[in-house]
Amino acid sequence: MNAVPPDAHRPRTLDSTAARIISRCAPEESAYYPAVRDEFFARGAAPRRPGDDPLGFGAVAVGVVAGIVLTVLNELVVGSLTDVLRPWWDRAWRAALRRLRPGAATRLTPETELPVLSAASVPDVAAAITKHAVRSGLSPEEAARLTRELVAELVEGGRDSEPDDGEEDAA
Amino acid sequence: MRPDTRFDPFVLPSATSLRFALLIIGAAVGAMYITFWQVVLFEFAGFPPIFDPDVCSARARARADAGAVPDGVLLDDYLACSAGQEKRLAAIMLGGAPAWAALTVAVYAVYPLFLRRRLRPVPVRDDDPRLQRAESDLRAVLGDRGRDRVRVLVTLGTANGARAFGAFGRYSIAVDSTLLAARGDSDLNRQCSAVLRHEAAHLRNRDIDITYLTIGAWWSFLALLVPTMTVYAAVLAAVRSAGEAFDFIVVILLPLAVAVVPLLLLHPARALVLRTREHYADVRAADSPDTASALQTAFAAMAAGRPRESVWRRLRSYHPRPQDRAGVLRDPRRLSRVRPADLLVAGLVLGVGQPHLGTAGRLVTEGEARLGMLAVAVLLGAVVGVVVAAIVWNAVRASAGDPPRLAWCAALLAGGITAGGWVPHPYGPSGWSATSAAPVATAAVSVLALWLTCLLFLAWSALCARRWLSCPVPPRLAGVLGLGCAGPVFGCLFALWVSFEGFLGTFVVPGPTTVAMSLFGVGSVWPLPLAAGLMAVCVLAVPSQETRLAAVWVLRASGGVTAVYALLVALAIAAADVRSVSLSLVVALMLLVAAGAAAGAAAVLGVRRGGRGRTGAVACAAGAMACVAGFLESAAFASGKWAACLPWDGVRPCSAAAWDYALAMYSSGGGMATLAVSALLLVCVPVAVVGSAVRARVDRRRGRETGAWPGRPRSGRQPVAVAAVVVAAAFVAAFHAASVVAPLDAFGSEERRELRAAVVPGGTDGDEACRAVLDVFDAEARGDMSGESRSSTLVTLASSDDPTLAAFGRAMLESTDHSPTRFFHLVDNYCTTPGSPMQDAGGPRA
Repeated sequence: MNAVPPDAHRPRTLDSTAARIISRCAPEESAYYPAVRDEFFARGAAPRRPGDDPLGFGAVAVGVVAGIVLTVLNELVVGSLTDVLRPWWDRAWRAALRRLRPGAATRLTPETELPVLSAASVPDVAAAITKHAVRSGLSPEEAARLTRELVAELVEGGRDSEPDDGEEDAA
Repeated sequence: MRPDTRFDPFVLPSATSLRFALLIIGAAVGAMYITFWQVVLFEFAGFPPIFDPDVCSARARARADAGAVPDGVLLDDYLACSAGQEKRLAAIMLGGAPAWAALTVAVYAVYPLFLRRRLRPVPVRDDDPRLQRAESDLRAVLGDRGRDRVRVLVTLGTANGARAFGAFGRYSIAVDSTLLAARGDSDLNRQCSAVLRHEAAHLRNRDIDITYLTIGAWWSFLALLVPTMTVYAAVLAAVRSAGEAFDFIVVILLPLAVAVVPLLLLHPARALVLRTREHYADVRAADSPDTASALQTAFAAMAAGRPRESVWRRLRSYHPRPQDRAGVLRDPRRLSRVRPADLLVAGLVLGVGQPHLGTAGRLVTEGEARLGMLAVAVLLGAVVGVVVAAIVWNAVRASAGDPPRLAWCAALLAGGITAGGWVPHPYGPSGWSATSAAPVATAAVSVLALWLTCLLFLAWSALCARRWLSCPVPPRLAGVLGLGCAGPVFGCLFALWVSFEGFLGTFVVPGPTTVAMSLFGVGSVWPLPLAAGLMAVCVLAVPSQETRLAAVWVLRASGGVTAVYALLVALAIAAADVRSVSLSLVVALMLLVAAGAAAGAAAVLGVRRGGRGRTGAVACAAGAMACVAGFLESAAFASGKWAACLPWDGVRPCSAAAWDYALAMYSSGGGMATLAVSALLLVCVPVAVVGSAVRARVDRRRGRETGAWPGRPRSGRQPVAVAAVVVAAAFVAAFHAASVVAPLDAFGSEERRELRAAVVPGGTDGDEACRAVLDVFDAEARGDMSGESRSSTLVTLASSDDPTLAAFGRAMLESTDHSPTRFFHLVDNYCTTPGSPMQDAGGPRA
């Protein structure tokens, strides 16, 4: 389902895809993106926890969109993206199975290739991305826009690497 | 008062500090209750009881049967044994608090270590460019000295932006590396700076200790409560018979249910403390317009993306809603508004704490409620009083002098106290809360009296706040002085209500007479002159023209009333020499005229110097005059005697006699000073208030404003007046307390001789002697304070065929060392223990 097409003109890495999406959806975060990316992979591609810590600020100030994008792409590769749509007990069961599965300790890198999204999986994936985004603090409108951009990047054919071209393909 | 153009919420104690104080006191009191329930569990498990008065009774019985011990020694030994038992019980009652405190400090110490491990900071060099970027923001808030005391840790997203933590003066700020990335000039960069300043503000506000002590307090409370209640539940599950199960449900399950309430209250209270300090950190960080703007932008973004939350989730959250944070930034006065929950919780803490701590205090002072229980009421009330007064001061300051709705605030405070008094106590003293078990009329009177007491305190606090915050003294110093005074004032007022309620609860039949007698009883307790004196002093000490003039009036009026009284005494002595004149009539006239002179002075004060906005000051001045003039009663009497003596003897002999008389009076209880102060307060303060109300009405009709108090005060008079009131109040309170510590002989040597002569050894059954002791309590409950039942009961005891009771009765007839009230209570304890005459006779207690 998610195989890389053999005739792809250019590799679609996790890093390059994320950078393109951020430059379109949250250009103010572009300057911070390298730091956010390095943090994300340095802590083992684990998403940031919800921010209600005592004596914290109460929310993530920098890299909200970048964090969502990296988390979503990471979970897409790992195969757990749509788990967010499932009941909590199902999510817990699947997470445990993934941990126990042989080869589950595969570490992603910024150069990890992204799979191509099939048309059949787009609705579920879109719903999952929207849910991730809203949970992370984006407004529904911002979450919808981010979902469109991500899906557009991930479907077969994808977008060109130039940011301006993305406007023509917007759904 | 002029409104502050830029309101600074850090001048007075912050809402964070106040809520933290309430949480700590509430958790400490709750911990004491839990430990107490643990003791009950041990007793159910078969361990020897901690409090076992039977031991003392058995020992006394054995020694009396042996016949080798003098009566006085037997009684002293029994009373000392009982006192030792009570002190053990008091230690158990209080022991939960130190255990809880130790756990709290342990959590506070360990939490930062655990947090640091979870944050996994990366090692960086001191000259790392990421650290350099944080310097300007940290120094802007902390200053150079503050910055040097903080360590910055760089994390990889584990800090969720930034986070402050630490303990015992060693603090750290963990900052994600993204916040320290290269800066440009964009909104996002300004938000990064604002976040760093927000964290630095937590350090500047000393939030770290408050936060982690709050967290520690909750976890410690949970650690004490859950195992105790789990064991209770297990014991209940193991019970076999239905009858036993019923007992357990009533005795154990009820506390279990009650224990859930503080847990449910403490959890959102903890979150409220943590939410409140976020507001203060935002305000501190927003010192510069750029930071304020960046914070507003961040909050707007947070609000846009925030999903709807349930009420419970919002109550548990450690951060306020972004829209609330933005609102407080725009108007920091919102932090100083009166919150109903704060007053309710303050009342609850007091209501729950007083029965427990008051009982412990009574046990420590060997059953003397007027000392131990009242001292606890004053101390506990003082702590809560500072919190409540700070709430009022903050509200007055934020509203530029307009007082909050005081009647409503008083209702919340009184409601909390009443509700707290209903919490069941394992060894619940029957005399504490008349509201829970008394006739409806008694309960209504008690609650009304409580509401009036709270209203009086809140109104006085608002008056002090307005006056102190308007005077040239720096606001912080004014706050320290005012709140330092307010604490003891509320403590004394609360103690007065506890006394009133206690007196009211001893009467079986409620009515106007019982209320009057209860008020009379309140007039004889030591917190009364202290409350009056402190309330007056705190207002008179304000450095303003009006209060300086009021202080001068106090000196003049006190002197005048004292001089009038001295003259009347001289005339009375002269008239008493004329044998045809009745002495009692002369004395009555003398007192009436003296009281009338004092009332007249107060009325003139009220009418001439009162009016709108001055009633409080006038009432305080009248109260101060009552304290000073009442205290000088013995000196005035001595002066009158001196004046009456002069025509007959020389100056020197008369002066020596007057001096000796005054010295004897002041060194043996102050003569009638205690009664004089109470009477003058009762007369002068209401008269002054009425006079001021009349003046206000007249001014309103004539359409004129309240003018300035005329006159030019001389410097130096104000401190003299303040000192005079302080000395008078302190001495009169000491006179009251001395009468408790060293009670007067209730019978007199002549009556004792007659009572001893009436004893018929072995002439009364032991059971009858025990019932006679119950009659003493019944008589007092009916309002009979004549002492006849006490004297006849002593004769009955001494005539008992029970050797122990007879020895007790004979010893009490010989000795004046023991309080009759305590004696009868402990004899009643003896009568209810196994092996006593009443138990042997099989008769139930009446």
